[in-house]
Amino acid sequence: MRILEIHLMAFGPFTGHVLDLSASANDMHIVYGPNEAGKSAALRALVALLYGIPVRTADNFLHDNQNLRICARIKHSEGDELFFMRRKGRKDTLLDESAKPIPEPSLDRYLQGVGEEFFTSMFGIGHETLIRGGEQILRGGGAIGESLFAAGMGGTNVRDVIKGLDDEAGRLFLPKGKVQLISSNLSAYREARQSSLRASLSGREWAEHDQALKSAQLEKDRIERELRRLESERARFQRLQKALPGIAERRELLFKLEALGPVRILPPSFAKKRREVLSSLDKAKETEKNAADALARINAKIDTLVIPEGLIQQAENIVQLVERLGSHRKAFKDLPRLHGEKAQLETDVHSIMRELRPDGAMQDVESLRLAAPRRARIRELGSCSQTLQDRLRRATQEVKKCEARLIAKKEASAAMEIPRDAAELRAAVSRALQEGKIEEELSAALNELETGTRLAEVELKKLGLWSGTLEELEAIPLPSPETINRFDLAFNEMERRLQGVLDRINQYQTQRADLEAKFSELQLTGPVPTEQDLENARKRREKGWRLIRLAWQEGAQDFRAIQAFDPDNPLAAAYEKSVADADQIADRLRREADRVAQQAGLVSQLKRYAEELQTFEGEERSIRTKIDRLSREWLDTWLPMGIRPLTPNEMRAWSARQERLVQQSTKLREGRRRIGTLQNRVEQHRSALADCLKVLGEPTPASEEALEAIVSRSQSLIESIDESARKYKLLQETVQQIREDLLAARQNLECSSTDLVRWQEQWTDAVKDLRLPANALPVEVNTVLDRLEELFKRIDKITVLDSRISGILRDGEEFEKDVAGMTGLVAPDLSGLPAEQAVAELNKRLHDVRKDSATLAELMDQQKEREETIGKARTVIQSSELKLRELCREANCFEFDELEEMEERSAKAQKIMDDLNRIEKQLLDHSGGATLDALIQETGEVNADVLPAQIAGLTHQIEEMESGRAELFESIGTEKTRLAMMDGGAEAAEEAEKAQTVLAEIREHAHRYIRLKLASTILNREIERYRSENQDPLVKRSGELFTQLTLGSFVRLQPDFNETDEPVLLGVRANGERVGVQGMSDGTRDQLYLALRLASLERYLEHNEPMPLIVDDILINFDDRRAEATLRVLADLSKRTQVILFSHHVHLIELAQAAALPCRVLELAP
Amino acid sequence: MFKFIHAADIHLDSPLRGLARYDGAPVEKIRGATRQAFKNLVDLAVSEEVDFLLIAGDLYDGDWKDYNSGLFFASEMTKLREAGIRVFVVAGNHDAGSQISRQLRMPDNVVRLSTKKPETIVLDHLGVTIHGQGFARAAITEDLSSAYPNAVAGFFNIGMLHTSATGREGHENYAPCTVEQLLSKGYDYWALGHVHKREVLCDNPPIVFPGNIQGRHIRETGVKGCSLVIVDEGRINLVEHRALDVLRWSLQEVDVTGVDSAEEVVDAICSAVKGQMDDSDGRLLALRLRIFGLCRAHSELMLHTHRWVNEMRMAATDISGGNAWIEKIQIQTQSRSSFDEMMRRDDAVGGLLRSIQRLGADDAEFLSILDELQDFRRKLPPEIQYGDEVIDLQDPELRREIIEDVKQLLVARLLAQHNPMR
Repeated sequence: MRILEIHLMAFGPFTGHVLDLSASANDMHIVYGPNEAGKSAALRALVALLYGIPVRTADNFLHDNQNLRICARIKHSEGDELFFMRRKGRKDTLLDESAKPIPEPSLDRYLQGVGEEFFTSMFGIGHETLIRGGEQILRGGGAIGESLFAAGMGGTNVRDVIKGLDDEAGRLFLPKGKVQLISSNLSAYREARQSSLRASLSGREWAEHDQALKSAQLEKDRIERELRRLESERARFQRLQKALPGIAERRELLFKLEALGPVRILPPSFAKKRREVLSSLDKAKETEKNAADALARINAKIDTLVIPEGLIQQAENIVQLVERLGSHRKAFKDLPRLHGEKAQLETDVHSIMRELRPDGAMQDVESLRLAAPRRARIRELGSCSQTLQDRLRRATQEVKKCEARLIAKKEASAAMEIPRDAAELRAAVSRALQEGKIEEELSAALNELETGTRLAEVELKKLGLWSGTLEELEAIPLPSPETINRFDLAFNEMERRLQGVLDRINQYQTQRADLEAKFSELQLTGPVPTEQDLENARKRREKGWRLIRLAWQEGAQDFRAIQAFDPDNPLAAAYEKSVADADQIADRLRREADRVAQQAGLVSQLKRYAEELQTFEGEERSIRTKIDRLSREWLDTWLPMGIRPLTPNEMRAWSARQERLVQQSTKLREGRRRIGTLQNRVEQHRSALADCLKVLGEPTPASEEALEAIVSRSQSLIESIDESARKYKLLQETVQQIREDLLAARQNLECSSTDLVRWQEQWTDAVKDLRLPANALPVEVNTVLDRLEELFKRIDKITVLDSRISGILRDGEEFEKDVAGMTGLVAPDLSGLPAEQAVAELNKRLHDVRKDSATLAELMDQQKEREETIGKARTVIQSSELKLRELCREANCFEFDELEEMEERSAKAQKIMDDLNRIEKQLLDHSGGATLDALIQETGEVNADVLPAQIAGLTHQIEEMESGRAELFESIGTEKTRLAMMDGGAEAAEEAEKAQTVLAEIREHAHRYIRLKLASTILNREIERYRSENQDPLVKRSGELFTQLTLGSFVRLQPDFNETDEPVLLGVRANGERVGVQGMSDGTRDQLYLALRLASLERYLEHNEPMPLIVDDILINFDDRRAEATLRVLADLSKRTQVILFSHHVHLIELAQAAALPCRVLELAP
Repeated sequence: MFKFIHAADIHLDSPLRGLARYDGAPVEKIRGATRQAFKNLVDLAVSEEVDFLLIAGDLYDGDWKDYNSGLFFASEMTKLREAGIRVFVVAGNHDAGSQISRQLRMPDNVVRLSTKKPETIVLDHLGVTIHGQGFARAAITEDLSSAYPNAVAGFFNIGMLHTSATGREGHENYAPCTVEQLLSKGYDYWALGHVHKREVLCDNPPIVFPGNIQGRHIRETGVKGCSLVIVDEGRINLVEHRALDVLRWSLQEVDVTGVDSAEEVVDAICSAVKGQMDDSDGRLLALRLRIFGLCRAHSELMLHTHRWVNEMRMAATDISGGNAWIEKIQIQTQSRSSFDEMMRRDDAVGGLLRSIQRLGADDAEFLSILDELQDFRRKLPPEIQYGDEVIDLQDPELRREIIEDVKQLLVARLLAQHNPMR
């Protein structure tokens, strides 16, 4: 493959840069670009072109990722070409020239399996590659295998690859190693396995412990049963032993009770009750005696007291008199002061009277008294005066102010002009606006029409087969798609049938040829006799026989016939021969029956094939005639349109395009109609607006003014008219307002004047009563009113004083009369005394009588109390005696004195019975639930003396059994613990699981190890194999190139063995000196490397599709002569494959041109 | 109405296989997965208040000898007894070989059906009969079901059978039988066991392999559990599969076609793992990832396989919150260059590839190379030398795989050198 041209359409710094590499014979190109010219980007573009643009690329700084494009035209060594484009993306990145995606494998033929890595390493040589290659050779000590293989791989560092494989394998496993991953895994695995085994439990072990536990539990149960029996026996003996003393004591007490005889048991409260009754009897007798004495003394005192009844009856009236005496005394003390006050008031009255009315007499004084409401009215009228006058003044001022404002506003109004009417214009504008962006729409429609027309024309030209205008195209009567399909189907059918017939003919011909071959094969071993041959031979024999018989029996000889029968032999011999021939044929027919049959079969088949062939050939001719007829019909179908049709399939496509054009034409017509409508509407609006503007006296629009501009002008006019109308209206409203204000002010002034006149009338009337002039001021009137009020207050006080003085005198007389009445009634001895003394004496006497009657009442209460006390004491005495008699009956005696003795006996008997009860209760504690009698009987059955020994024996037995039981408890505990540890735990399973994870690791590592080891082994073997196969030609060719590159400093390369018997390369000088790679200079080693690479490349080209060799500035470290030599070598190579050399250095171009090397120079320019 | 659960192939304490440890692997979380799953089974039976539980064989692994597993099983059965749930068990091939089965005493709610002849259990209160026969020895190759009695009229008849049916890949062909034979018995439900993948052989009446309750290696992927069956008036209302597994095995394919860098491959792994996590109901996952596709990242993956596998595992640990165990990452990506084309070329690479390819066909040469690995192979544990998990280099499938891997490895390393044109 070679690259003919490469277009850096959009990549790195490039935009539409083309590198034309389509050279002639020599295909070497030097692409020159100074620094920054994008040489590296161009190199990258080359790789990206073939293998795709990487997702993360540095070449998108100028063009966006989705715009990156590289195109190229490439050519296969067999001559075919491919033009393609590369874009950036995940898939469908390979495009054809119309930017449609094409499958990636389209390139495979040109790349022949050369992948990206292989391409860049094998067909890319850079400066660094060269240096590293030289170093590699040095490190490898010139090992041939490695060097050749590396060169064959495109300079791969094989040594590092092998080392990498071995190192990784070594980390996984070394036969004697301990720390390698697999080795440590192995020990971990063994550990986990062992842990799992240790943790696992066998069923037998578990069963043993389970059994041991069960038998221990059974034994424990048995011992516990025995223990319970022994303990109960011991307890019985102990019980009986304790009961024996109690039984003896009980017997003793029963004797004592019997000795006491019959006793009535008295309740414990009996003695107490008896003592209480006796003591209350004594106490009651004492109380009775004391109360009788006290009663006698009280009666004596009562007899000494006497109470006067009259005084008591008048007590109420006497007390009233005493009280009246106090007020009587006080009234007579106040009298002189009252007379004084009255005299003073009378003096004041006279003085005021003189002040108000010097001429008036005191008799007239009452005529001056005015009622209170009247006074208040006069004062009120006075106070209104000032207010009324103020109101009048303010109203006058307001009227004047309004009149002035009205005049001013009227003048302003007269100065304003009346606004114009904008209604018509507004309506027109609104209609125009409803249309929207009508002019833009119009212009878009015009554009669309123009574009559509242009496109349609282009399409029309491209349509082909027919010429004319679009309208004519619409009119042409094309055959319907159904017709075209019908023809298509008919053609296809014919083709198919024809092909079928041809296939059959072909098949028969082949088969016939086969048969013929077989036939001739059959004939090769001699002709095969046929039945016909036999027949012929027999006929001949018959003919001979007839000639013989003719000669023999009839002596006639037909010489002409004989001659004809066999010209060479006499008849006899000829006949014999014919007999022999016929026999021989018959014999052969029998002998070679197989071949005969085979031949007969072949012949008959051949015949059949010939017939078949004839039939099919006839059929072929008939089909071809039909096809011709169909073609003519097809042509005729299109004839009326003057079209010479292609195949129906193509015409279907043509027809579809024509259909699209017709549609397009209809669309265009629709567009034109729409433009007409739009233009009309614009014109209507323009004229409507112009009319309105004219009416309003505005300039009419010029014809070039756009509708939109007119509308906008009209809108601003409407706004200005609206503004002045608003101002005019505002002023009119203000004038109206001021007129209303003025009217109100005048009314107000009138009201105020009327009010003042009315007040004056009322005032005149009011002051008349005071006998003051009508023009008296409110202040004067108020003063007179105040003095009149003082005068009448004093006159009223004098009247009150007079009434009090006469009251006092009348009360004193009444009091003295009442006192005299009382003394006459209750104490005639006092009637001579003055009233005041008599009342005091009466009061004293009444006090004494009241004291005596209180004393008497108290004494009578005491008397009653004593009598009640005596009655109660007597009742107590009776009831106590009854109780004592009851006690005697209870104690079974007759006298009160015997009671005490009976009590003592009862107490004794009671104590004995208590003791018995206590002992019996104790005994029952030891009876073990049996009755007392049963216990007494049981004790009777045992021997008290041996009891302690029996108890001790039992105790000993029990202790022994208990210690046995404790041992059992211990072993049960142990077994339980052991079993509990076997709890179905998962430790063994977990360890097994762990072993599995380690095993999985081992597997993983083992797989990896196996692969690494195999890879390493195979690679080593392959290097050796490659060396042995390629050493001779490669070393020879490398030597030649090396000689060329070093300008004859070395004459050839020679394989040799080093001290460890490995094959190595040596350079040989002209004088026969042999130089190892260690002995070469760096530059020479680079050249050795280059020689090996180029020789390998040539070898590659011998067998494989060539690929362009990309060389990037490898000559930097070469001197001019060696550089020139290198260029020459590359120029030679370019005869076999394309060589593209990138360089920064002008010098190099000069060098190439000076040496007249056949190469082209291309310059990079972003 | 009554309910029962049908489970099989418990393989209690059988370890999970193929999970190599790495930093961040959820080692603790997966501990005792089969036990956990079994506990889930018991919990389900209790919470669903089923009337009985059927276990159609293989309680333990045949070669597992730890009696603790049996004790654990018995203790779980005791829980069922407390809940009044009876358990019917037929022995499977593993149980027949298991020492635990022979020695273990079960609580009285557990009934082990006879291994000598078909046994019928009648549950009068439910109107149910259960027919079944366990394995007397590990390998039963005759059709056990043929001797089963016909259905008892008026009862709901259940057949229990440990069988490989008509044969299933990866399972020993034991107690073979056909669906027609089973149907001919006229039973209302066939509770089968032995096949680890859930399969319903017939819908009406149901003939069901419930599958095992916990997947144990990558060949046992997907939901694992038991069947819950509800019967009403003698008719089956519902046969529902209930998941019991603690750790779910899954195989995920990740297409990285067109990806440039290994980092992006790691990203793709992350989203694949996340997708799996979202579908797993919060269960732990054991994932095998197969990465494939034509991509530039291929050579980097081949060059530093160890590093990238680690990165992917780390990323998976992060994204799954430590709930995914990446069992294996199979890198099967390809570079643009086709090996077939390369192999046809007459050059060093073509020669190398042809040599490797020849190893696949040439036993002698392959074996001579393998000789160099003898020392290594001798040191491996017996499980890898023989056994289930063997690395058998004679196996043509494995050999093909190894050869393909070696090709990829070598080509990637040989061609991935400094690129003078980038």
